Amino acid sequence: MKRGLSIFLTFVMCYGLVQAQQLEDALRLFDEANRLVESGAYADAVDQYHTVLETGYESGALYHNLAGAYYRLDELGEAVRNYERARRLLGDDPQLLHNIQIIESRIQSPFSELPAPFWRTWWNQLFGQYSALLFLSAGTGLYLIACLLYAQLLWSKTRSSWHRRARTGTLALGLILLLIAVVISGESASIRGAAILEPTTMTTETGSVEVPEGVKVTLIGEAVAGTEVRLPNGVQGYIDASILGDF
Amino acid sequence: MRSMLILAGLAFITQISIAQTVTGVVSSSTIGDQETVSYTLEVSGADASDIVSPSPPDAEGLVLVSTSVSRGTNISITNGNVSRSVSYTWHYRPEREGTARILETSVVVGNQSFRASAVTVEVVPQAQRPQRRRRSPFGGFNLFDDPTPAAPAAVTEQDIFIRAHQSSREAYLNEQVTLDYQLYFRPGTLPRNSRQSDSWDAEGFWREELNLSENQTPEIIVENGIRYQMVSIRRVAVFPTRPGELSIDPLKIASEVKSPDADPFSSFFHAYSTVERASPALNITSKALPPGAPDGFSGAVGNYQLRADLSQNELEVGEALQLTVTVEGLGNIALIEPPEPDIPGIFEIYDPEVNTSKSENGNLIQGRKTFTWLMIPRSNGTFQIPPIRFVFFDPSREEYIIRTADLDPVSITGTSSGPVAVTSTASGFPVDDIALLKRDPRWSVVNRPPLHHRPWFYLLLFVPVLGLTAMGILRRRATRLATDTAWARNRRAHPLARKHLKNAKKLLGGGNPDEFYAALELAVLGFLGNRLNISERGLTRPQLAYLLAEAGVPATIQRELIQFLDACDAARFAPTPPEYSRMDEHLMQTSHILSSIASELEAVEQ
Repeated sequence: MKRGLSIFLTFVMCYGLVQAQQLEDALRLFDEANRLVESGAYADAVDQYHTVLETGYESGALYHNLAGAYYRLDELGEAVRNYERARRLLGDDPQLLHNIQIIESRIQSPFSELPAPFWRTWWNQLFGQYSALLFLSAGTGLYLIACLLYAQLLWSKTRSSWHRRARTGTLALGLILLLIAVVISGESASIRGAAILEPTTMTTETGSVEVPEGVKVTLIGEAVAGTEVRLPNGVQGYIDASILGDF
Repeated sequence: MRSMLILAGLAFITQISIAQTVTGVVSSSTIGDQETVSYTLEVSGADASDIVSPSPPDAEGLVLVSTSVSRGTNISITNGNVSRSVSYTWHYRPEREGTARILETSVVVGNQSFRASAVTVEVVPQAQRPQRRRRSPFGGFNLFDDPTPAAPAAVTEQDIFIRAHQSSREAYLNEQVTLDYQLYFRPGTLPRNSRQSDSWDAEGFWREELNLSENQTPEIIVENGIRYQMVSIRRVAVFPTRPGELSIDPLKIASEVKSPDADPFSSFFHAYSTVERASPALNITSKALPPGAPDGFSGAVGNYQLRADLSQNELEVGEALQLTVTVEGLGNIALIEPPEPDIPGIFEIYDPEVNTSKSENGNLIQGRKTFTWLMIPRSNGTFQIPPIRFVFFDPSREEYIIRTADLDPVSITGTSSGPVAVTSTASGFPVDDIALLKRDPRWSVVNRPPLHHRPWFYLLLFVPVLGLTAMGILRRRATRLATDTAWARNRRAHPLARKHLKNAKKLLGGGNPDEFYAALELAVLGFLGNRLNISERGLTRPQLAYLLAEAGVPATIQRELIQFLDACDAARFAPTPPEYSRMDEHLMQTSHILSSIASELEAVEQ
């Protein structure tokens, strides 16, 4: 038992040390990439940011800065892709939203945008700016408190109405927050869309549509004719997968 | 030397003016049946000695008055050009009213034969012809002349008219069509004070006026045997702005003219009359441009060249850079839209300055349009501006043409000293640029699976539930143990019996049979007391048998138990201690009896 515990503790300590070293490396490379951006060496900065990603860590700031470097290199498709990745981690960060607005004004997409369903708007307004970790932490805390209250009920047979309300309320609220955390986490992890990396022609059932670089599309599935996507205006068609930058 | 050059020049002039032409003209295309008409055969550009004297041409409806020919020679120098002509004139008299013709004739010049076209003359009754005043042989004043002045001779449509020439009857949208309005007049009409008498419009067209030469020399044109002078009075380039059948209004002018048949000695005040003439209306079919226009086409039609230049290729951050794109060629240059250069985002770019220069001389509008963008780099680095692209439709080739102009890379050095944008939003971000860096990385693992794909999340959810369940079970067990004595004793029966048997096994080799058998008795009676929830102390054998029978234990097991207890008592209190094997046998028998009773009791409980 003691031996097992010591092995476990040693493993945890080594894992912690390796992780700390990796984080340190990632931070150092990130700062170097930022310096390259400041000196105007955008192509080198892009390479450096990708090196950071190869360490196994990502961050909203990293994707944000990478998108900015791509923007300076006039690769609008890649810029849009990485701004969307940053949005996944940063939510409605004001600087990020400003930059997205600037790049969208440059792209001048010819497609109007279908309105989002009402529940999506509400969801984004309520939870769009928070990460899953926040809801996970709060939900877990309330859930454990509820479990303790139930344990107290079992052990001491406490029968007060306040105790009943407290344990029911904390349990319900905790489970709801955990459910929200699961949904946010699932949404963040799933690939929802892609940016067009080069101007292209989308094949539709009725003809073809010219799609400029930087337009965001929704991925639907794979087919023989290419990747099936949906344009912002709802038109569906097929596009060569090689020019889609998923985010 | 100078005289030699002059001679050489004259020789050259003479050389270029010897193009030989033969034309036949009549004095009037309409004559009265009492009048004569003169027919002049004019040979230009030939020496008189080379001309074989022509014979008078045959005529239909006209009779030659005299076979004698009136011969004349004319040499003129106009704008340095020497022209020489020899003319032969005959007079004809009409035979009857109606249409008469002087037939085609030929003239031999040197060893070449030239033909003059037939001429038609209209013969009308003499009353329809204006009266001619005869000039007095006594001078300008004659007492016997009619004192009322004669009416001026009428100016007919044949004497002066307007023709409109269009370069094409069909045109694509925005393709240039040139309209040339030409005034034809007979030399004697001497038009003056010509002016446009009515408005002129070309609806559905963009139009550009083309300049006419201020020193225009009338061109001599012979039509149907009548000599005309022709000048262009208006030249317009029109560009259809919509497809379909489009019409252009007639051009109307008013002019003061003399009658070519008027007596040159008639009154000065009645010599000129005002006439109005209109050109025919013009129709142009405007065609839509063919489909399949490439990206970037903005409607330019014509033939253009493209040029693009950067003011410099090496500069510092914040320094101004100019991109100049020039589109030059034939077409409606005024409507050329600026190309859309794909400028990298690091440049702050301003609206282009546009300069247009057109040439309205000649028959086509052509010109140059220059677009100049001012760009200010915000960051350093080397940037390649993609080639500038201009798309137009060439109507002569009936295809879209793409012109591109490459640019050299731009190398920008230095760094931005502060916020690049002059203005900022309320949040402090540049107004028209991205905010470049964020410095607060909150790291997370790349491609982290979602919560519902992670085992620890389910552990987090279910471990507390399992703990609560275990806790509930334990709590319930503890409660029953505390409240249900029979159940508690029953639950304790087996462990206590095992404990006593274990103790007896220890005492087996200890040499103390009394304690050994006491332990065996305690194991058996304790087990029975706990299982049957009775006090085992002080129980007699008959009481024990009764309780076992009541509990459903068969009689054989009851007897076996009683015999065993008796044997234990005998061995315990015997004067000589029992043998080890005997004691071991009793230990085994205890286990057997306990298991038999337990089995029977469980069978009964079930």
